[in-house]
Amino acid sequence: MATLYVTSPETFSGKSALCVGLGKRFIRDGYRVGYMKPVSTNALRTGGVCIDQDAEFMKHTFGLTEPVTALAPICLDAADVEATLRGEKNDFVRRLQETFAAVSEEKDVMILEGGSSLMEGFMLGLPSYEVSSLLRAKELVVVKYNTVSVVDEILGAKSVLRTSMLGAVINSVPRPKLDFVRSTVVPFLEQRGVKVYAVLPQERVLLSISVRELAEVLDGEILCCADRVDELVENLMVGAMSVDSALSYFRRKPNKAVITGGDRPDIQLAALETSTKCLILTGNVQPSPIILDRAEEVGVPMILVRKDTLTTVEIIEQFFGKTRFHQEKKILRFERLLETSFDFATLYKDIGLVK
Amino acid sequence: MLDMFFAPRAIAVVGAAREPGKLGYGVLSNLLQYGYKGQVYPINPKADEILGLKAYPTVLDVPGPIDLAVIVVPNKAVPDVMRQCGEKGVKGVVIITAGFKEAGLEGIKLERQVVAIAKEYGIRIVGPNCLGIIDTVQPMNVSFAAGQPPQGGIAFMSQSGALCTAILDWALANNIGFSYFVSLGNKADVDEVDLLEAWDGNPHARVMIAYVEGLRDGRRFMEVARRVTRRTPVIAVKSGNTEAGSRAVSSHTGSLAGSNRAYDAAFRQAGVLRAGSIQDLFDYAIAFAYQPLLRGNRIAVVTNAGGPAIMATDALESAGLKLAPLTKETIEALQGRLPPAANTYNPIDVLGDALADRYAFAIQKALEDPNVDGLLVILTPQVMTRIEETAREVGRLSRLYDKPVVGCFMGEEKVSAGIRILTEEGVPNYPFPERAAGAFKAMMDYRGWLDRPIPEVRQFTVNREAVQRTFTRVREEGRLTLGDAEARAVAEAYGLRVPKSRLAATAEEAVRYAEEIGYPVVMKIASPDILHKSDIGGIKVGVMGASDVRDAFDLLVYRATRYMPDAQIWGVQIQEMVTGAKETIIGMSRDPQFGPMIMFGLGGIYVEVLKDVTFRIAPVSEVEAREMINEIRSYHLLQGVRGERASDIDAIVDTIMRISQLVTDFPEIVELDVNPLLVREAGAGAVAVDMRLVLSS
Repeated sequence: MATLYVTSPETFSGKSALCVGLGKRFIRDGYRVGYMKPVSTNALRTGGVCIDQDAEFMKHTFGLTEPVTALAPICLDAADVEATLRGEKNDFVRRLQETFAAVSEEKDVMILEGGSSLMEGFMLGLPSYEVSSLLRAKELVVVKYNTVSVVDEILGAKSVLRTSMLGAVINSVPRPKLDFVRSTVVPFLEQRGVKVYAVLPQERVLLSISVRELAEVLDGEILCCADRVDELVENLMVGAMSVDSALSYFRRKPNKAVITGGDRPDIQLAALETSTKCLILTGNVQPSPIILDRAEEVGVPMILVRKDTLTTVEIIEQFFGKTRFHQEKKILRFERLLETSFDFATLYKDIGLVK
Repeated sequence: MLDMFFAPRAIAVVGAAREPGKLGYGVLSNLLQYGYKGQVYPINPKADEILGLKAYPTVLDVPGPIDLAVIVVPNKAVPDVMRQCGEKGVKGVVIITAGFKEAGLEGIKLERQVVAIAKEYGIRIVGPNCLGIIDTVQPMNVSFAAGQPPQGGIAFMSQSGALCTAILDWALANNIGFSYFVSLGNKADVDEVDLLEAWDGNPHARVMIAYVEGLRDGRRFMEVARRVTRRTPVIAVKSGNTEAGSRAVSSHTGSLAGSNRAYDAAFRQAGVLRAGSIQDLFDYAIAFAYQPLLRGNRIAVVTNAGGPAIMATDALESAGLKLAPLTKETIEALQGRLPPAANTYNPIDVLGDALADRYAFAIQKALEDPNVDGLLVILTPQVMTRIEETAREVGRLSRLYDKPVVGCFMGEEKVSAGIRILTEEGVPNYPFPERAAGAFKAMMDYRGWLDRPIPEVRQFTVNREAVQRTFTRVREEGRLTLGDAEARAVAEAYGLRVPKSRLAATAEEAVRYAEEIGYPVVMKIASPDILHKSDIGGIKVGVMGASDVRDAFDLLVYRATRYMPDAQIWGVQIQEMVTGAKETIIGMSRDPQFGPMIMFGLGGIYVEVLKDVTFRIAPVSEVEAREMINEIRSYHLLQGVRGERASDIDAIVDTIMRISQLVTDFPEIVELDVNPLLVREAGAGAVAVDMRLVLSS
């Protein structure tokens, strides 16, 4: 059995995406796939049980029969963490090993998902490299490209993980930088012993938020087109200008959410003329019925929120690019991306999977 | 066309009422009172007889055919009535009833339902939510207006019913004649374009005027108006020009108003005169309706007072008209008969004590003068002034010459009898000289339109396929904006000259490209997120030598990341530096009503502040392209000042037309900017330095 530990120095870098994408490909190739999130230290407790959202999502995505608690055996909320720090005794190592043994039974490949950083788990005595050695896993480190500092991050990961690090995946590379990353960064890393399995171009849709998520985070009321709330929003624009410049402005970004006042019918219409996935009307001012009708005609949900425009923008900005990878559309897109950019042949060879 | 409205043989009033004060009573009684000659059927299930006519429960119960139904029943009952009309074979309906699109979601749905029924049966609709139609030619009055205007040459359409009633009252008070008076209401079907087409060539519509809030199909309006204005003047006032006004239109009509500049350009290119106010609309209308069209711009003024004449002179000159230089014969004739103190040059001052005969002599001499194209008669009421007699003389003489004559009888109480006579005689009167000048200017503008050759749009040989390929690739990558290299490829495919340019991702590349291109070079930050590069110091011009290129590269990238940390930075564009040229700008934005609107202006960093720009709707002909260049205030700069050589204006014309063709060929281009277009000396061409393009999603 092969065990792959997908981990990353930071959050929202594409770990879940990679777990799903790899897992689905393994399943398609005829392998029995299992999943586990070994350490989860910022879970939420509902109904007395700590549930890790990623584990829940993977169980559903891969059709796993094990209970969610088995997929995230060390699942701690803030209170649990404090208890541990106070010295409460816990045999995390044994729990991890036993659950893993059970979950990985009759599996060809186990995919493990890392936590919020490479440092997560030290306080439990279970840093990433310790988990790897306990479960005989190989780490695949995902990093999101920001600047050339990815090189530091990857080499830093290498120095922490050492021999258990299988290699890296550089995610979300802006298209104009692709050539540079492929021709310069990758050879540099490989010279230093880091294998790069994929350089994935940035895709806006993968950073997107669904209209439903927006409505939830803003505590807004969906006024129309409730059947379109799973549409994905890739950009955010504020409509507070003159109507003449509004059209030119709105045309620049596709698949966007437009935030404007309920009392700006001109801006609302201009937004509806362009590629808009939803209109967010601030200040709790109901839109004119004639515009509501137009929105319905073109199938763009309108969300009415109580907050003012500035607060609304702040809330959404905090949220953008930091959402969980739990939408069908994103999964399909990411799978396609892997098909064209991921070196599966080498991976299979390196972790000993044979077709 | 639209004969069901303008020549119906039988009319049903659905919702006719017995009680005075009700809408259904008002409409029926207007129809009967103002002389309609055809059959009239009141429809009311609860009445046997209304106003002496047999009433029927529904249109289906009427024995004879019905061409037109006027509907005044409550809004919810309208769909049923429409079906019955359909079954009956009614060809047109005027829906006066309100409570449709203007009244909320339910009304919107109701209106949609009504339109669907009309489509099914092939019924044309005027309204709903309108005042109705008054036609003084048939005659036929299917409206709830109080009164009927006298017959005349003005055909009026209005998107506002309330405005109709006010205008009607004014027309009655001033005895202004109308041929047609149509309140369009919500324009569920019949709109301005249909009426322009219907009235085209109708001798009763000497001038067509419109109050417009928004057009449904701007392109079709232009196409039809362009044809109609070749023989009939069309004047329109368009409301919602300001920010707040346009917002009001949006929430009123539910459609995105095209920009004010687009309306200006479109009206102009279609020969439609744009009035700035309702007052201007009627000031112009009465001039066109009552007087022959001005042939040239030389105006004579006959006055009995000096001050108003000077005001008139100023107004005429600032409106672009000329004070007619009288011939020697005219001046001598005037000197022979007028008192020595009189001014016998133009303006002709017949003095305060002038009686009607002195006025008549001066008017006659002025109108006989071949140097005079039009005449303004100013009268101030002085003790000895014979107001009514003078007015009659003005009327009599105006009919003898094929030149427009307008009055400016100033004052109110004393001159009112004279004004009444002038109006009866067909001479429009304006209370102040400025308004008279405005009317002459409108006539002159229309004359200019008639004299103008029909614009021809030139077709260049271009490489459409190359552009198509570029756009396909951009779309495949899920982008809406083009990168610099892509935009350059598009520009070159349409025959624009572009400077040599390369995108450098690193400082070393920058040096290599700069050396390839040759020093000095221009360096610009390349980022899809930074639109106004100069605002953030993202441009360096005249960079010389490898070391400066390296420094500039680092500086530009540093500035960009500091200004916008999240911006995607592609690198720095290294560009050939074009020297000795003037900066201009050509842009295009697709207007929701009229389509591609081309902009031209002087460029540079002050363009946003000076706003010295002009607009036309594409396709733009050569004549129109030249007009654009002539129109900007800084045109003289392009002609060269203080010994400068003139700029290559032909090259600008060529570029405007090529861009016009590009945006016409590719409707997916929604925004385009060539900024700057550097124009060299005459004969040396123009270079499109930077082009920005946005595609529709």
